[in-house]
Amino acid sequence: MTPPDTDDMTAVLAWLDQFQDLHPNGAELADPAAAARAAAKAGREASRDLPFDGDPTGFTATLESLARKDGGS
Amino acid sequence: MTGDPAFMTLAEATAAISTGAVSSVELTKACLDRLKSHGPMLHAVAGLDEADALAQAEAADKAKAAGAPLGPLHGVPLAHKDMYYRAGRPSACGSIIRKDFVPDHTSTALAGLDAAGALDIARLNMVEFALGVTGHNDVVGTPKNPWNTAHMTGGSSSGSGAAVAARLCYGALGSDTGGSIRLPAACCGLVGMKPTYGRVSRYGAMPLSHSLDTVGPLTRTVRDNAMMMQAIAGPDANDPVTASAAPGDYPTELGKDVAGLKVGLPETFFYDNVAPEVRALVEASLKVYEDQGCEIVPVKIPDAVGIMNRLTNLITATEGAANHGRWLTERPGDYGPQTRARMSIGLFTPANVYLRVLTLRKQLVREFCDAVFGKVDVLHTPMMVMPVPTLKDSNMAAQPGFADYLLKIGQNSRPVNFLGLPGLNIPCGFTPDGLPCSFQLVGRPYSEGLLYRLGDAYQQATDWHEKAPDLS
Repeated sequence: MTPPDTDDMTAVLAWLDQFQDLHPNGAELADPAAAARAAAKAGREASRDLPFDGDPTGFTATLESLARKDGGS
Repeated sequence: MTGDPAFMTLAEATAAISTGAVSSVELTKACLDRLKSHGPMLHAVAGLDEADALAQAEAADKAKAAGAPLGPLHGVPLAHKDMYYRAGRPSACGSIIRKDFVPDHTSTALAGLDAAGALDIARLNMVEFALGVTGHNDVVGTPKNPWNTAHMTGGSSSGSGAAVAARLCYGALGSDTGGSIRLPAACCGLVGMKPTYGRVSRYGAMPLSHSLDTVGPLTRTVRDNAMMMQAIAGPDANDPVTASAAPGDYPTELGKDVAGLKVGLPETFFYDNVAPEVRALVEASLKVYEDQGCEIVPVKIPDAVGIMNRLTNLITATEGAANHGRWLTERPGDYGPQTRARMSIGLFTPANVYLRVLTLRKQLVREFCDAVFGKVDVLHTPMMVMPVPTLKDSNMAAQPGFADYLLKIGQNSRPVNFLGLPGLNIPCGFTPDGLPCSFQLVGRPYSEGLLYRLGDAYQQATDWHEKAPDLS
């Protein structure tokens, strides 16, 4: 199932706000597992209850579908 | 022939070899002289085997003398970013971690250039693991801009930019994940093509971010670039994302009329933060197209482009961290601080966010193509929004604010990677400090031929590409 487009965007934007401010410090790099758990928890909360399209493949096919159809380059 | 043959363009060099006006050995000696005299000062060279280079040239001359069929790049010395694998030859990828790595296979891109008859005479320096837009390399040293050695080359194909601009070779491969061909081309006054995602095989090229990585040439002219691209473009079973369709015949696009083509002038985003001196030069380049009969059409850019820079960073960091996870854990001290910080961020990306971004990508490229290429043939933008910074000012390492600074440098390059579209960098003059300035042409998927046609039309009407830095 393909979810409503705005849901994907909402979830990604919520994460980006955190991602942009994420500057690992010495403590986090010393214990990346703990830092990753905290970051993953924030990500899950940001995207909770949203449907998800689990098919990220086929980007080349998408591009090919958008190329000119008259044979021109 | 008079003057230093290293100053010929690649097209001129191939023609001169073809007619017998010059030999491959003569061209190679000219490049080797410059690689040895200027390469160290520019810190452009990662590896040089002089005897091997001359042996390649002698073999090319013998083949010509024997009447063997000549490829379109026969006998011309090239050098490449030190991340293109050649079986049995080291490939350090700008790093300490891979300094002793010797691949057992040759990249498809190098094999294509070999088949076209080109020589491969040196390995060129690069940003550590190709992750960086300024050109700084904290672990093996930073190349310098031939136009002014106090300024950055741009990255990550930093040595490629410096070497081609300084006439150390006739062309070079770079790689572009977030701007790494186009930005050094812009900073060093060169033509740089980031092809459509899937147009050129990445097999045997160091992976950084498999969803974004592209392979392309840096050259002094559009014609040279089209010639190199012709040799490397096409499907490859070893890289499953390559497009199945055969590439166009790029050199034959050059010289075709551009009158009537619609050139898009972005109304939003791409001129955000642009410096006045950059704006003046980029707008002047647009006037050249107007004078050639192109129609300049204002285009509204979809709002989503505003976050693509950050989305590209997220994909790069996440996939980069997947590639480097073991080394980040076991050898963190062998990375430079910025590389380590940027890669490590990717360790924290939730899988659902990463997959959502990739899902969004397909939707957003459709929206972008509808909004932009439904109205125009190409989009014309500034390449960098600021004049080329100094090495000192752009040496951010992992200091606070470095992420925002890198976002600004890559403002107009990364969205093109996110969208998977082709982008061509073309020099259009010099800012008052004497550093090059460029514009970018962006087309719909697989429109490299059209971009080359328009790029060549610009160079036929101007002479910026004929200027060379003074290294005396």
